[in-house]
Amino acid sequence: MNFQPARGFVLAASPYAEADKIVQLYTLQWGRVRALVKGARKPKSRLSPALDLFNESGFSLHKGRSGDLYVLSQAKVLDTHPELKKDLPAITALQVLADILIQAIHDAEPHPDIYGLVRRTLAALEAKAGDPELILAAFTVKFLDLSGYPLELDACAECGTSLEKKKIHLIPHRGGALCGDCCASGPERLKVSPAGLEVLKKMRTLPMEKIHILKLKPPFLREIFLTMLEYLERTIEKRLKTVEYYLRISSKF
Amino acid sequence: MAEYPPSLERLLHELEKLPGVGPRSAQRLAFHMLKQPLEAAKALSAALLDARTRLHPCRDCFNLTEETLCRICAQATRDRASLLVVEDPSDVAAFERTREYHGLYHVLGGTLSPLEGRGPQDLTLDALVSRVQKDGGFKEVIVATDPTVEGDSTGLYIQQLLKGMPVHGEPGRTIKVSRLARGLPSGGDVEYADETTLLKALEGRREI
Ligand SMILES: [Zn+2]
Ligand SMILES: [Zn+2]
Repeated sequence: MNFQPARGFVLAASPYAEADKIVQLYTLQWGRVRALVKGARKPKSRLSPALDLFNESGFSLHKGRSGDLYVLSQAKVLDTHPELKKDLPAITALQVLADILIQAIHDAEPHPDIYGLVRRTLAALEAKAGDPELILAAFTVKFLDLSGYPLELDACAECGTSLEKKKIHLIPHRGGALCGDCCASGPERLKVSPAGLEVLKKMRTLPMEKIHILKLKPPFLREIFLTMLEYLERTIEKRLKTVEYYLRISSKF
Repeated sequence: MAEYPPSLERLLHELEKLPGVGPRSAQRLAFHMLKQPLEAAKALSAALLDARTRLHPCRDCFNLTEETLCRICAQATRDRASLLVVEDPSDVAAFERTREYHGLYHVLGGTLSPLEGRGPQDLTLDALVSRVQKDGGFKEVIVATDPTVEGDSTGLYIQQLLKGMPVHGEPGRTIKVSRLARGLPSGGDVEYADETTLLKALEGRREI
């Protein structure tokens, strides 16, 4: 047997066959992987406590017979984030975060910086260090940077002129913020106000633990949150399934 | 290109649509049925067709039934002050096996699970709210969804929906919403739990 130790988070778990589960993991050593967990739905399963959303564990994985599906045979739970699972806004934020990671990361390539960012994001959510929308928006800015799609925010991504006192739009696939001269029209434009641009810059530079010092009014925060998610969706050319759900559920918070 | 005659290919194709059945299990099931007498295949297809045409959700609780109301809703002796909210009809069966729960049920049809595209509109939540409102006799609603993030968020959402609803005939008193105790291991599945475990979880429930 070819065992591989891995430290990772559970992004999703779905029932499989009689009593098994297939889990999606984001691991430090192997990037994103899928693994089969035998007997995971039986109450006596020693593995089931490890399989809840964003539980972080040390796993033993080994290559299964069929292609890229691993078999998960052991799990030592490191953190179950119980505080994060007590209220609806926090859980819903976790689901959006899982959706982003599932949609945006496909390769089994390790990326320790992104792994660290996920950990710090969970810690910020757990400490209630800021509104979940603020934390997720900041996560998205930082995640794009680390994924090789950094947003140009300091000058027009195409002509390089200063963005001060200009109409600004964010355009996925064209590098970030563009001045009005460079993007006269087009459905792909995401409008951003000068104040919004300043917030995005701070989201990039402030460490996640300090994000909470940004105090934004709820409608403004919502606008930035949705703009960043849409920017990400267009960049990766995937729809996030959880955004509509988030908006619907958050009306009940 | 087909490896098998068309009728067999068609059978395999249909079997593979079932949850947890891959190509290998489909072949195993198909070859097993083909070795049995013709009567066995007729009985299976008749049973499937019969169940599918006769069964529908209970008018009140969405449990499966052949009548307007399921047996539990129709039973006069049930405790009508208590409502146990479960994911699936199989969970109703699991709690009935404990023989200790005497209240009514409400079958949601799953949990809130945005990653699988299941939102509030896909569950029987509107029906739950109007049932609790109209009936007026419930004093406690117990959420018995799986001990997972999806199960927990469904419980919290139900709590938001029912928060502050009055208990009829008792001025000032509001409906209590509680959640099964975490006697069930987290990440587990209610339908697989044995009677003792379910009973302990039920007894140790706490208000949310
Ligand atoms: Zn420009
Ligand atoms: Zn019924």
